[in-house]
Amino acid sequence: MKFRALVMLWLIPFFSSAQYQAPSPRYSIHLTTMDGNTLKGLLMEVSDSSITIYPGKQKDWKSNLPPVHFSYAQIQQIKLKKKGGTVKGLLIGSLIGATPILLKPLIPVAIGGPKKSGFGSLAIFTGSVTVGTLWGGKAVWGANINGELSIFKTFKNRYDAKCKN
Amino acid sequence: MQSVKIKMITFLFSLITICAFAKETPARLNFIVSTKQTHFDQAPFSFQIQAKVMRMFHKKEMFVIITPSTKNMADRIISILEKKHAMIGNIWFDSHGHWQRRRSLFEVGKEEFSYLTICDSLLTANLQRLAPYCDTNSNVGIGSCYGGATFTLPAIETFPEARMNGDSLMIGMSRIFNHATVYASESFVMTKPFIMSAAYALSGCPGRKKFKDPIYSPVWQRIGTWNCYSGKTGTFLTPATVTLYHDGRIGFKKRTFISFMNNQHKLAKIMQKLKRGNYNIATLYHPA
Repeated sequence: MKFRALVMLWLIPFFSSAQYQAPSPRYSIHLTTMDGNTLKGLLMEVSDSSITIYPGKQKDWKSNLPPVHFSYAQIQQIKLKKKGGTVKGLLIGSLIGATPILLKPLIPVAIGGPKKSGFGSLAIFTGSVTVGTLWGGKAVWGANINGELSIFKTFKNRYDAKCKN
Repeated sequence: MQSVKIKMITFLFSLITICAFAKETPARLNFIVSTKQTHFDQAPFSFQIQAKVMRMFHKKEMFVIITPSTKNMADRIISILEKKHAMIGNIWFDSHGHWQRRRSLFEVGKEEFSYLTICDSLLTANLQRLAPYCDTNSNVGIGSCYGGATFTLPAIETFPEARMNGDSLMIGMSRIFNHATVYASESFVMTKPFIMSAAYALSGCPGRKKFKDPIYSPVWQRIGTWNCYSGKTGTFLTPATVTLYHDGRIGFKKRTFISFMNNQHKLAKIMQKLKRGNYNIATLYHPA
């Protein structure tokens, strides 16, 4: 009886995994169709000849909207942006910007150390944060498919390589 | 002396007649119905604030009903009408239009009314409760964008062309509201400042980028155009641009919105700048 109870306890996580929600896709997609229409969503899957898109935003991921499939022949252009790029850029920018402020007390006065006001450091910090955020936010890559299978396959290989990394 | 008596009797008789007549014809009240918002939305918020401000000056004849459902709306309207022994003069439904659903509609709470649902007696049961308080002199306004649209949307990607069927919605509404006159727009319905000042505040050109797509060209071509269905005669009319008066009455202007030169220039500029790709077609795949 005890053994059964233990087995049941051990199985609970496996049963609950059925209700587990997959994490949202890594890339948001900006797809232009051959007619020139735009579809913004989340890239779910890239197959040999088509892509699957979730037609919503990151915040809509829990809504379980039905995915949309687009064949390579329907696609003119694809632009992908990694999730959290802006935040990452902001963090990297602020780290780079904060470096001179953090290192300043360590620099000896003879070399031009911590004697004057911190306006220069503040300017460097602000600039780094701005550049980092913009760089992170604009980190977009993609391909002009123009309905051609060969270009689509190149895009798929690149996507697979990025996903492995 | 006798002539004075006759005059007095005549005066009293006419006074009694007027009183009796006044008792027989109930007062007309105006209602503004808007959905209670669960999250902040600028357009309904602005409309509700403006309506509430105007209600402060017209407490006797205008009522603002901010409601989460049609049941709540009907309950409140009926209680007011019973208390005041009145009939509905004008009722305005403030709502969003949902382009991605590809049909004319308006919403009260989470309940949608379109040509698909307006004939469903179960879904419209609460609206039908208001029918005894309406007649052919009542006016019903559908305040959602493209609420009375009659154009056909062109096919896009995998979606076939679709007629908006706003006229069917208007006919259905008129039947529900005891052959009342129904007003609805072919185009955008704006929520400009001073919306209830008998101005052109209900018409205009929205500034958001998503509207500057050729997918919206049938709507842009009909800016400021309204349809009117008379339940009394069973005919459609195209009145000049519809407006709301201070006390919630629905009326229309002498000139259409687009008859003004500056509006024509503005529209021409927008029409030239329409660019495919401004509208995100992802919304068509989940038209909620």
